[in-house]
Amino acid sequence: MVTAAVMVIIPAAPAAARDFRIVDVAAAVDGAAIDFRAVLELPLSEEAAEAVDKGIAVTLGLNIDLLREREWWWDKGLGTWQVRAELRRHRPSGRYLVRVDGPGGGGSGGLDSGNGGFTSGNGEATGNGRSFPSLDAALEHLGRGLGARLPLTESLQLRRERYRLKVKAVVLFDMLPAPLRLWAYVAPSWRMASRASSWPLAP
Amino acid sequence: MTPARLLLALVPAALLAALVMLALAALHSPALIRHYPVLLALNIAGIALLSGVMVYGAWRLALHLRARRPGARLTLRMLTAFGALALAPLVVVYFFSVQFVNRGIDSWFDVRIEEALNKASLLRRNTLEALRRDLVEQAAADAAALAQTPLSPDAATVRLLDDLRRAGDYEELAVFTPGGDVVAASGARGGALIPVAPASAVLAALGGGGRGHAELEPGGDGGLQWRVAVTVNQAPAASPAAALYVLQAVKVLPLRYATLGAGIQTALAEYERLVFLRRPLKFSFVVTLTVITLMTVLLAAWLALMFARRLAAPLGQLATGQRAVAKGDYRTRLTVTSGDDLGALVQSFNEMTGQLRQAQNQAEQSRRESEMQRTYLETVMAHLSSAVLVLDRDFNVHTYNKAARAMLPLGPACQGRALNALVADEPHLAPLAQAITAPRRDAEWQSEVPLAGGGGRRVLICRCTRLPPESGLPGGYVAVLDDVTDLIRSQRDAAWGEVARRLAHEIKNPLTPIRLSAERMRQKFLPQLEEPGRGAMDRATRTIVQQVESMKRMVDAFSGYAQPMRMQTAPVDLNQLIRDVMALHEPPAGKIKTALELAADLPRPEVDPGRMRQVFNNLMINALDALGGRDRAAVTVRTKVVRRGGAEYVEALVHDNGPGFPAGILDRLFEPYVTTKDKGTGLGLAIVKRIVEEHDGVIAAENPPAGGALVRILLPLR
Repeated sequence: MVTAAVMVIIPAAPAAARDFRIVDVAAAVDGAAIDFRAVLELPLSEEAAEAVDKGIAVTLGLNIDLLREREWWWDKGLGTWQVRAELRRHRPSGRYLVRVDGPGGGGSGGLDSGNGGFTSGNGEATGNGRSFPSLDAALEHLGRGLGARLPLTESLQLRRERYRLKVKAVVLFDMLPAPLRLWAYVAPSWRMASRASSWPLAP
Repeated sequence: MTPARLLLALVPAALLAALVMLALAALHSPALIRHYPVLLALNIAGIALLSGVMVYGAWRLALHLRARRPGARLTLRMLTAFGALALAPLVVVYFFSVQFVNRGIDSWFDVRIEEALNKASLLRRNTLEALRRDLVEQAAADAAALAQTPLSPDAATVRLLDDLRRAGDYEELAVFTPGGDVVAASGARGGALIPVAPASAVLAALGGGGRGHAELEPGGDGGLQWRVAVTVNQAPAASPAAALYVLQAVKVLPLRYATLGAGIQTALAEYERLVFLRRPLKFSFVVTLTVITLMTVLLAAWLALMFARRLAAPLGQLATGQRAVAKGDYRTRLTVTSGDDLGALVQSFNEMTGQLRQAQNQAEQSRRESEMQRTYLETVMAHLSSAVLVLDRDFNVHTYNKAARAMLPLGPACQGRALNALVADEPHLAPLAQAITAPRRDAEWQSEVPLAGGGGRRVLICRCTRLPPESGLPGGYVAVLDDVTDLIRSQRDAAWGEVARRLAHEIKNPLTPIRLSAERMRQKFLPQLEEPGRGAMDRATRTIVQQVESMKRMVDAFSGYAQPMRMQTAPVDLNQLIRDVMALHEPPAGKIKTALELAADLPRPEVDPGRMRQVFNNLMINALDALGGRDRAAVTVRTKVVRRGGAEYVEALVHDNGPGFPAGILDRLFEPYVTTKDKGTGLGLAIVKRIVEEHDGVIAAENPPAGGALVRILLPLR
């Protein structure tokens, strides 16, 4: 009965989205925190882009795990962070707003954190984030560099131990509006995520 | 409550709770909406669990149906009924709910509302476009004013910009180089912030000859503001190098426009948002509805199965118990699981089996007592020296004891057979059968039965009693047989011994003085007497002496007969003994023919050879005496082995072709002093009979149809 009902509702589900990709990660320990920045490819599916166009906020998440490598045992997790980037369209102005939240204050596009408000123009700060004239521009801006300062709860022994960061980019379904959430879980067009990739943490 | 029952109560409760929470989450309950996927997964897991339980239950039910287990068909019937009652309304409700949800959500999106919103949006865009054109023209005018003055990051330029800003009611006014560097700026908020340069694309467009660019953007206070960029073509008087600058003006959209536009945009945005969410919303509702329906159906079916099982369980128990009772097991106790009618039925069954068990115990007790009584009687009867024979009303052998088996004897095959039928196989039982079956009127009677059984000739005292009707064998008879052979023999021996003693004392003793007196008379008076007195004395005394001597011999012979015999038995070749006796009585050639037909390999009976020789000697004397003076006289002696009453005997026949025994004495032939001879003592055959009987043998005399006299002797082989 469930299958039949679903088939009735989603006969014309859009084609599956392309996967996100983590192109590069730059991370360096700075005192009691890690300065983290990732270069990403974040192609949204047609349906997700349409959702943004229709005023639905879509939040992308960058899940970061800090692991200490161990030779004869599973790697030990030392910390987990999530950097969130909310994408939505400002209907009155027709611009696309990007707001980045991270554990230590996120940032993107090589600019400082947009805590002071959005910037307009091509990556201009305006209000509480940045706004862009097009979705592609916003995504391109996010992909150029999504960073955060990750606070450490314990000091790392970089000389003696080896550490790595496991990074994965996903769409945070929990942040979607409730009616869309279940749909996003089952619809192929919302399955946008990168593979978990590991990046060594240099001293 | 047992853990299993607790689990059975908790699982439906948990599933019901998950169902309710899913329904609330589907209705966008703030507390539960975040957990919607988890709740959905929980419910789907519950559906899987219930499906598994139902499949298992159906499989078990199928097995029970195949095995024709009691209550299985009733369970199926109730399950079908409950399932139909629950399923049909749910399916109908589900179908109409899905239709209602789809049509209800579709009805939200009215075409007229969408059209109105689009028109309002178009109106807003046209208004904004007019404002934008006005603003670009105003900025161009300001740029023209600036073009007359040399621009540099000095106070004069800033003052000029301040004037223009205030005049134009700008939020910010700034001059940039074509590369985006700030030349001078004036801001309504004091210029604490560095103005943001126009986007590079805007700068490029202006550098390419564009007149101006204006766009609306979100303002810092949540409102909207115009960002306008125009070129400033420096007049040659102001700048010999004819420098090109970009003037950027930021102007807050008037509140009335902003409010009106925001309202339209918000309504349109919300409408578009709802349009986009229509399909996911339908999907969410339908999935929720489907899961809830499925869960409800399965829960109802499961509860129906449980209820049907519980309802049918007592019936199954009853059937099982009934089968056990049918097999005689009255210990079956059923568990009363409810207080309803079925419980009362189970209780009644338990009471019934309890009463049956009590009756069974009593019957068992009676049977045990009867068995003990029977064993007791059997033991007593087995140890009785008297034979006991129980017969039914038709004289069929019902039971007999060990002594009867040995005394008669009887084999196991005689059980249940008629007494007269037994006689056909065991002729020696004929006197007994006749004594028992002879028509009687009395309830008890007694008779003496001579029997030639395995142990030789026996005399039995048979006491018969008719069994009373309450005996269990109404109309039957019980015969008690006592072997009085030894008793009779000892009584006879005692009697004859007494006779012999009296004869010796009363007769033999006076004979000697008589004889002595006669001899003295003869000696004393014979010489003194003259003839004829002398001759008379001589004859008289001689007669007295002869008769006394004859009487003495007769008394001695009788004493020899009457006195107890001292037997010295040993295995004897009877054929050879007969040959020896025949040799002694070999008659003159041609007068009497003797013949011996002796069985070869004749077993050797245990007999006293001297006594047995006396037997055949007496028989031969009698035969020869009987044949005296007859033509073609012949005596034949035969021996062979015969079976009588299950025992083997050596049979010896002495047959002559004389006149036979006189019919008048045939039945008394072996009694003392029965004789046909003038000079016989009358004790010959009596002694023969006694010797034979002392050997536990049997002797009989008869006149065979072929003629002559026949004496038959049976000697048991031990």
